[in-house]
Amino acid sequence: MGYNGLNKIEFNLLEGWYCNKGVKIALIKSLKNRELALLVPKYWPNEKNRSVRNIRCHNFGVKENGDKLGLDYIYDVTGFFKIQTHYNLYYSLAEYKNGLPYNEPRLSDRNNEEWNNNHWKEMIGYDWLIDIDSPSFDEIEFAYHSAVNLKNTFDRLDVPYYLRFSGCGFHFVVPYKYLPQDLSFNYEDNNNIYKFLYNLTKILYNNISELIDLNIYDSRRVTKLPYSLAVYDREILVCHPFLSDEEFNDFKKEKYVIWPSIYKLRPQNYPYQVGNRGEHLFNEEGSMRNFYKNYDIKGVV
Amino acid sequence: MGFAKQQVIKSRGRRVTPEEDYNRFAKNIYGIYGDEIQDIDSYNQAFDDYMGENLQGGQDRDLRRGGFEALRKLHPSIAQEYSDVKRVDRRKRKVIRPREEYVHVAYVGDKIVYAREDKVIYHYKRGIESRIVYRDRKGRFARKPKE
Repeated sequence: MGYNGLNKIEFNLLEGWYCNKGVKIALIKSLKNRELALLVPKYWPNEKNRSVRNIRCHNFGVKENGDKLGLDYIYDVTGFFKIQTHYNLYYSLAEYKNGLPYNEPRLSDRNNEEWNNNHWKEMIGYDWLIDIDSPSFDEIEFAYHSAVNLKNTFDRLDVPYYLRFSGCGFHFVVPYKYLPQDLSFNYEDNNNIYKFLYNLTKILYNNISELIDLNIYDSRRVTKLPYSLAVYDREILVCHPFLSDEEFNDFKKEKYVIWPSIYKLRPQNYPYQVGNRGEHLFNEEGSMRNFYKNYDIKGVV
Repeated sequence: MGFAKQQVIKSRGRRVTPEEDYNRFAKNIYGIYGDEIQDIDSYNQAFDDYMGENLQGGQDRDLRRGGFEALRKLHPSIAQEYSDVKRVDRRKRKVIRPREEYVHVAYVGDKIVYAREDKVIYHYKRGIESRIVYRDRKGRFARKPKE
């Protein structure tokens, strides 16, 4: 029993959203030199093997440098709007020197072994993600209070960050350029960046909220793509980046829920035009210095 | 005679576990507990946790020792003598409550925590009253917002 997938109306809604030009531009912006991953939601465990990782996607046309690699092609080749199993879109926290190698999105034609083993040699950055997960939709106000507390702490300490609503929680992302630049991307080194960021997150977990997710800190970590849709068994929501304090203070989950509609294939509740919204970096002029000082983290500048 | 039967060597009237079984056991236990197994004590704890109460005395001792020896071959950094291998006194072990108990989201001060339901008994002059409270993993009282 359980979840039976999306119905035709909901699939039309997905298609209407993802084929919107403004949405496509917003998705592509976040994917520069990063990995795109299409993952099957966790409440559909039998379909896990349909997930596709290691996709290069730098434009939304059909071709890039003569190869078929654009967003439209990926929609087409993965049957994005045709199959009953839908995907959620994720991107890598790791940034690569020249992006990912050209690869075939068809699973059967791919060989990722070499890339999986050696990808860290191509990495030029790794953002710090703080993922606040709500235990359920009914308890989302706890996740919101955690996000408020964390935001106040970051603002007080002048820490730069992006802030997004993820569908069932909140994401804070600190760009790599504000983090120590001398840490290794190799997981086997002692001074690797993943261990360092795990320890920073543990401090926030101990001081601010236990809803902060500590499970995965590794080089392959992915997170939801801003302006993509988070499809849950009960609702479809937009992964929405906040552009100002007012917008965040006025948070209501219902604003980001998209309900299926027979008559309109565009979002019914979402009140924003995605087109040129982009993302806002809070405390752009700030640094991590006060954070390290406040929590007595030694050995970093 | 089947392959599995050939592997069983009789010695002094007792079944001796083939070495490859120990190897497989060592791989399994290391796969689950990984770097948590640093020395003999952490191995003993991992073993007790993994096997529970399933083994009898002799079986327990053999598998414990054989597994440890195989593990040392696989990971030489785990390097204590297996003469130290013994069952950890269960009474002395710290009680770690299962994660599943902590399912209520609540506040301790400003911090948001996962808490478990607990009962506290108040003694009044007029009698005894039992109340439901919430405690976080450190045992602190946590409050739930009024619904």
